[in-house]
Amino acid sequence: MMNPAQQQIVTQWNQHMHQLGGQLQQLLHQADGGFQQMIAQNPSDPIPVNNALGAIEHQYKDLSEKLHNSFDEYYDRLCAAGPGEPGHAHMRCAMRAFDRWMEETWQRFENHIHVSHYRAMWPLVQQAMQKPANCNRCGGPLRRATPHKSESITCHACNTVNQVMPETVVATYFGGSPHYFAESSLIDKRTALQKFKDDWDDHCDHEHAADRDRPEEPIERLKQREQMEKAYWTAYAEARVRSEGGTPEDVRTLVEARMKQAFYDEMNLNDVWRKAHGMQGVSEQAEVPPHLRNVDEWGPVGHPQQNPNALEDNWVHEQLLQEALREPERHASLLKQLGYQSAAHRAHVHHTFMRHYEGFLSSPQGQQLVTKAAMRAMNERMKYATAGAASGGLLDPIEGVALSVYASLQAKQASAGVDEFTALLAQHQMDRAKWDRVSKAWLDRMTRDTTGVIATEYAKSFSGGGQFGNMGAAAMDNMSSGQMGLQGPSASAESVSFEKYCEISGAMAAWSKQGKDISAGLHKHFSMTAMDFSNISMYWSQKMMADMSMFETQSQMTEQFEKKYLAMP
Amino acid sequence: MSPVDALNNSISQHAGAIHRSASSSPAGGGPEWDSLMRHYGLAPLDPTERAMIVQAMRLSRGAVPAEVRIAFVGLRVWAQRELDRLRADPAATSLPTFAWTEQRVRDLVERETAAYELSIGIPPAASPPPASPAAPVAPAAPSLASIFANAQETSKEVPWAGMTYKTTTNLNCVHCGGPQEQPADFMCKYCRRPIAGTIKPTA
Repeated sequence: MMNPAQQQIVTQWNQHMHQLGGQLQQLLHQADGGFQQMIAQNPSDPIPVNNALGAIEHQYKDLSEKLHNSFDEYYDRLCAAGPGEPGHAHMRCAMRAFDRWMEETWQRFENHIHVSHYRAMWPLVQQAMQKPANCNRCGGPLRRATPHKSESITCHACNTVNQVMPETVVATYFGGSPHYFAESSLIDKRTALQKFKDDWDDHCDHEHAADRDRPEEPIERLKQREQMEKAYWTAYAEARVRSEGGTPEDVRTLVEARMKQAFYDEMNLNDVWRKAHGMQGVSEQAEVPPHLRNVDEWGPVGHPQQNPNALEDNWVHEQLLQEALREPERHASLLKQLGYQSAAHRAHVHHTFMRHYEGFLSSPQGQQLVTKAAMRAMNERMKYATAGAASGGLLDPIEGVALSVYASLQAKQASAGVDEFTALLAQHQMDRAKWDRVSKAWLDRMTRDTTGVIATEYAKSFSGGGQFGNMGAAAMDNMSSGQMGLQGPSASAESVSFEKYCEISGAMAAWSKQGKDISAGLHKHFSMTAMDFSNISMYWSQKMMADMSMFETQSQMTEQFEKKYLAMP
Repeated sequence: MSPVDALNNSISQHAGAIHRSASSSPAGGGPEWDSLMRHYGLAPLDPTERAMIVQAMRLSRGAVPAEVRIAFVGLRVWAQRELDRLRADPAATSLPTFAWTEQRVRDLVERETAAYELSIGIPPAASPPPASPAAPVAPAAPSLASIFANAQETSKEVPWAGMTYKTTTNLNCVHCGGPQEQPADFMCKYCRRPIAGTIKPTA
């Protein structure tokens, strides 16, 4: 039971949330007017709306952060007035419900703005799709079959092939609207799902407040959650595929990818779920039977007297296997690849290393070794993932077009004129229609890839162009040679200083809070494109990973520059 | 009188009426100010909030600045709409006063509210101390008005702003100039060489 002073503090906490809620509603109410005006002024251009939405989202996140930052202050007062529980549980549950309300309110608002925009765009899209197309050579009429897609049409009058592309407004509409139209009908489902999860956390908090252990979530409840997640993602995938075109297989693969990320990755680390599915619990897997606890087993790593890197190698194995736990099949296959007979064997080897070196590992040198092992593991993981993706067909060409060709053409498209790019495609035996199909298919595959391999391989071929291409290329060389985090990219490629990199990052953060267009700012203040910055960023990110002390400097300098740019008109 | 001048006159008349009614009102507003708000279709603040502002700002006369600001925001919305209408008329946009009017409308709320505050004896807000180059003071979160203005203006500053792309293109052989006559056939029908000059591997 809370005493009257505590009850008053909890009431004040609720009032504090109520006030923040009022601020959010006021912010969104006022912003809505601005957005409607903006949409009316730019029905065909989503960029200004996206820039403003990004800035309003910062303000929404600031309110949420303000709430979380003030929790401790109220909790300290609660504790000063008496025992922490059950007031603490009341405060936490109220905050959870409030967080959920804030998120739902923001999602509905964001979706409403996007949907309003695409609805306002639709008449222009219809108008553009009805525009007659004429042969570029003789002016004869061309009959379009799918005006929202690129087509190659032979002119009946002069026999010339015309590659006809959708107008910008048509491409914008069909490129962006499917996601938001799909999302708009699903916010209720997503909120219900979040509430289902929160209800369990609330229950656990109340149990804890009553001095009982936090219970394990029962399997029936986990299965119910699985069904809710599946229903949500299926509805999303069906709506999206219906809008943008696709097959039932596209729905299935999208649901599978999202379920893995949103549910199974977490459940495969949950002992209740694991046991219900015939798997050993995570902690059980790491247990060594009492009769083997004093028996050394160095396993495939080898005895430190034979392998001078044995301790580091053991940590590399540990990191790799820990990460793979969320995918039981990959974990089992990795155990074999690394030379272990079973999870129990691996546990025994790790126990042996810990028995002999636990003291050393807590020393500064030991910590250095663990950090280095983590970096090595990151490179190794990428190597395994790429090999797995390649053997599983994830990197196979699409309609004969390899990922590297697709990525390098994408990089060139930004700076090439229409005729130049058409000729470039022809050199690769593609017309616009095929290019659009290939682009969509690679993007779809990337969306469904939960390993990140496609995105990494894409970046390797996308980088290297433009005025700072040498920096991107150096970063990619470093990554390809498995040195990420162990050493930085070659310093000879450093054409933009660290300070300048921090300045640009700070400026970009400021612009995004002010609603300013980042591409415009990069062009105006630094004479560069977003791709140029991406190359610079890849280079410096890898430098920082190889020298962790740079992260703090980066954070301080970026913050200072952000303030400087925020103060600019 | 040009339509731009007419718009400027109207803005001045409305702004003048707001100033007169606001500054001649008793502290916190009065019947005349209320009727002006009603005339413009604007919702007044809650009476308790009005009273709180009068007390906090120690107003001896005049409508509360927050409500006066709301009135100027309404005026700006109307003026902006008129400007947008004029923007479609090249004769209006070519007038030297057009750009000036755009600027006037953009700054209207801040400028007129500040002028009103000064007129009822509220000193202008002190300028913030100059920011130290080493650790500049964080400015307050950007206002909604500035966010929308920034989003609108800077999207026009991207290098590709205003560019139009042709939506129909065709391939002519780089060797002999002959057109492509068969979709997905990238060998020239006339000279039997790659139509775009070369064939590159795709996989």
